[in-house]
Amino acid sequence: MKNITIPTPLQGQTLEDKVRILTEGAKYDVSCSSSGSARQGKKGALGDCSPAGICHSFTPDGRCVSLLKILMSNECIYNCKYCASRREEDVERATLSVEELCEITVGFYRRNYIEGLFLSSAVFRSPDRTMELLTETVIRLRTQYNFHGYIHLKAIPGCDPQWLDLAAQYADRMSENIELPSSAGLKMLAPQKTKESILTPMKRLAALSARSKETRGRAKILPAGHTTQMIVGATADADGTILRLSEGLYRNYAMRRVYYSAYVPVGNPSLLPVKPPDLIRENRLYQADWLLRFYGFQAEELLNPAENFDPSIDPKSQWALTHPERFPVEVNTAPYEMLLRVPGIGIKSAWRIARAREVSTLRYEDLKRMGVVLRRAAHFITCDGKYHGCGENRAVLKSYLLAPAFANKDPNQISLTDAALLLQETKRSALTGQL
Amino acid sequence: MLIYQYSGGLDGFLTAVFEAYRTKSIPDLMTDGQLCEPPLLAQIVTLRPDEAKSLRVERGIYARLGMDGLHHLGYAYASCDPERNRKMLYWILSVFKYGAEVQKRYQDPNVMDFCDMTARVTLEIYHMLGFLRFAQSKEGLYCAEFAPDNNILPFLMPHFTHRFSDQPFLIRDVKRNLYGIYNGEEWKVLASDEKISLTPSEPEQVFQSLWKEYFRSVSIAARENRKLQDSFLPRRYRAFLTEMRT
Ligand code: SF4
Repeated sequence: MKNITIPTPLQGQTLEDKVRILTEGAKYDVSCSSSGSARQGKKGALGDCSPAGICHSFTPDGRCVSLLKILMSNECIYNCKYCASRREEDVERATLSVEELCEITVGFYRRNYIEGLFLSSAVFRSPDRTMELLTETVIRLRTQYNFHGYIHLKAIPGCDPQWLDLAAQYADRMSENIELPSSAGLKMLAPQKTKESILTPMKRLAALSARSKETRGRAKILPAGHTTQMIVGATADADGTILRLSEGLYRNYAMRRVYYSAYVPVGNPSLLPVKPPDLIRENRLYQADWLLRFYGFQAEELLNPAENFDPSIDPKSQWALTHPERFPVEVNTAPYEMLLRVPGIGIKSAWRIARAREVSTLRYEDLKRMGVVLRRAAHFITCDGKYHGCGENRAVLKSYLLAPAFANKDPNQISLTDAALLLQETKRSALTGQL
Repeated sequence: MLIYQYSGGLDGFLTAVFEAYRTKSIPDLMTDGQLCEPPLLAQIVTLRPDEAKSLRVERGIYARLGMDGLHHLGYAYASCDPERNRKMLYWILSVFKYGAEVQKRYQDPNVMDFCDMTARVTLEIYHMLGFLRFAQSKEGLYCAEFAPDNNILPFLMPHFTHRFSDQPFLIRDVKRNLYGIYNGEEWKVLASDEKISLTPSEPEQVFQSLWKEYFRSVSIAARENRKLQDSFLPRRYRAFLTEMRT
């Protein structure tokens, strides 16, 4: 068995200190998922990747812990206003060595704490030097430690593309954060970053992950593709704009996922709104994102560019309410694509309906067992010609579709417990994609 | 009341199913336990496992549903559902009646009861792929303990032997006194009442405290939502999680 060495900390800071500081700096990055890669394990080697992704724990905020999500360093030469690692912020600074990062990753992996590593970093010294060290860590893990677990590597804006080409041969997924939904926002809050410094590497990653089927040597290039993240609520950009941006990224940049992160205030720069993170808004965006990727919706069907989502109702129900001419649909004959548009019918239940109706005509009673939420769906369907809904009165209809926290209440007066409840509900559907 | 009393695990159960199908007499109860107080007027049929008969049932399922069907059978038998035997019996009868079409019969309670039951087993397997925690002993052996609802240890072994192919390990189901052992070459599952008490290695303590530090740091206080955490990470699993121990 391989000897495991204990990483030795630098003087002054303990290894625990570094892990604490560098995790604090990385935790607002939301793309924790480890899914989408199927890296084969090998006899005598360590690790493999499970295509479905595996959650190893859940933190008190209800988020899945799948990867060791950590910064190599938080000693940044830049000064983005929304970021806790920015140059002028008064925080503890730390840097992990390549060796320490490898030892911690492998030590955690062998104990089944994690699926792999999500490594990012602040820009220390220069973008090139930073990306070089990130790349070295990944290469070291793959070659020296024979590690086949999942690795997600962040691309550092402004680095020489040669590092991206090299890193892509070893990482499962790479990402480049788009950060803010508009270039005006970037100029104001992240003056050292430009649209170009973000989009150029993103194009490179798109080209690289388009080759993910190819192999170089034995390793696949970016088998889990590339992703991005944007911060929501730090600028005035509306949901309609954000959603169009996501749609463009899915279509033109072969993006695997866009993650949204409700802005959490750090430090106290006066440029930014100081209010609690808008988690409901974040969840509505995730729901809409699912509608784009799996439910056949287009951004323009859901919102105008300057509009925001209604917090009291999910985007799919909102769409159904404003399109009474498309309903009710007969579950026994409606095309699968139309079943997906019915509130209360998710991907799983639509699929079940499509199969079960080949066996026999479905009755209203049959639907419940299949996972259809009848309280919502009843008003938009007929079963064998029979209608069980409440009719077309929009106010009545809406009362059935409101998230329970909002039912019978003035949406401006929601208590904190209500908000937590609602969040639980929307978060769950954002995670499972059942809308 | 008709009672089938069988022995010999899944083989015995399938033998009983074969008899029920052959004689067209569907039992009201199938059990491999002792009947301490058989109901009055109950007719009790005692069956021994008969490989020829159980194999015919398995072949019949394979012919209609392929390997998928046999996997489902295995997951279902691992279930802790008190109605397991009844649900399995009615599913198998449905398979023989409808053939491959059972996979589409989402409107059929006999089929859905069975599917929901196996789904609970596969969900727990999936949970445990993530929630199992190994600790390294002084001798270098990695050990994990857990207490699953369903009898899923055998289903975990292939995943972990694949993942940790260079790392001998041991997994103990403390509820059922089962050990899953991997020696770096092959694995097996054994029953034993013996407890394991191993001294942790020196790096073990370092990694445990680093992991706890990581877990504390990665949570966002402004977003705390214990209800959400509870719904994803059932409390009964937490006793074995390193990061939940203080
Ligand atoms: S470059 Fe990255 S780490 Fe540095 S301040 Fe900007 S967002 Fe923060």
